[in-house]
Amino acid sequence: MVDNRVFVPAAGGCNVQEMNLYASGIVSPMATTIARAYTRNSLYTGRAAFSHDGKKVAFVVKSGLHVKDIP
Amino acid sequence: MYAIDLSTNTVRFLRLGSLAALSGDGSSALIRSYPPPSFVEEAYVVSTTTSMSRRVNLGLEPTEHAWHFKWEAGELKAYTVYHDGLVSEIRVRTVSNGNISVIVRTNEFMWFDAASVSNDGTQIAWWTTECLSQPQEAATFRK
Repeated sequence: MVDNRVFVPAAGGCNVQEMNLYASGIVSPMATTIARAYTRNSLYTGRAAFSHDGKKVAFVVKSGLHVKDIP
Repeated sequence: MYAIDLSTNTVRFLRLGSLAALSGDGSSALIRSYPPPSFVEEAYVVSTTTSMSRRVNLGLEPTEHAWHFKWEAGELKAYTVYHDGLVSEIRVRTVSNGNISVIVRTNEFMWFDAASVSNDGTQIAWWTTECLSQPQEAATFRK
């Protein structure tokens, strides 16, 4: 028996999403990737905040708080 | 929103809404509100010493959302994310004259509320998201 089933994408939603956190200067924009994460659905959102001196960025993703230097 | 003068502990009612930004000298506050029945966003610059207010038109497009405001050299700047379905942009608008600077343009979807600007206004960080695998509906049978 030939299985002729086809699967079609559902409207909306997402099983796997890639999230990227970028940083850039404003005067001379050039995006640098700070973090990348993969999540199982589209319910996750990211947050980010610079340190006072602008040399680090803190971000929350997948229930974890991280701090990274700005390259 | 209220303002308090910390030297005298004087409290002043400014306006209904939420604070979006305070000017560097503390004399003005940008207050946003979504009044019924339309719930269309309004923005006001309010004096923290007199409560006098004036409405400001942010001039945003329907698919543009302001996520950060900052007074820079006396000019109120609105940081926004704009989507047109294909591209996302981070924009900086000068509220007084409507000038737009596009900082970043990308094909990835940007969250409007997941970005940050450094205190000195020279750097910006933002999150994007891209769906790699969409959910599958129940099997559909071909004859």
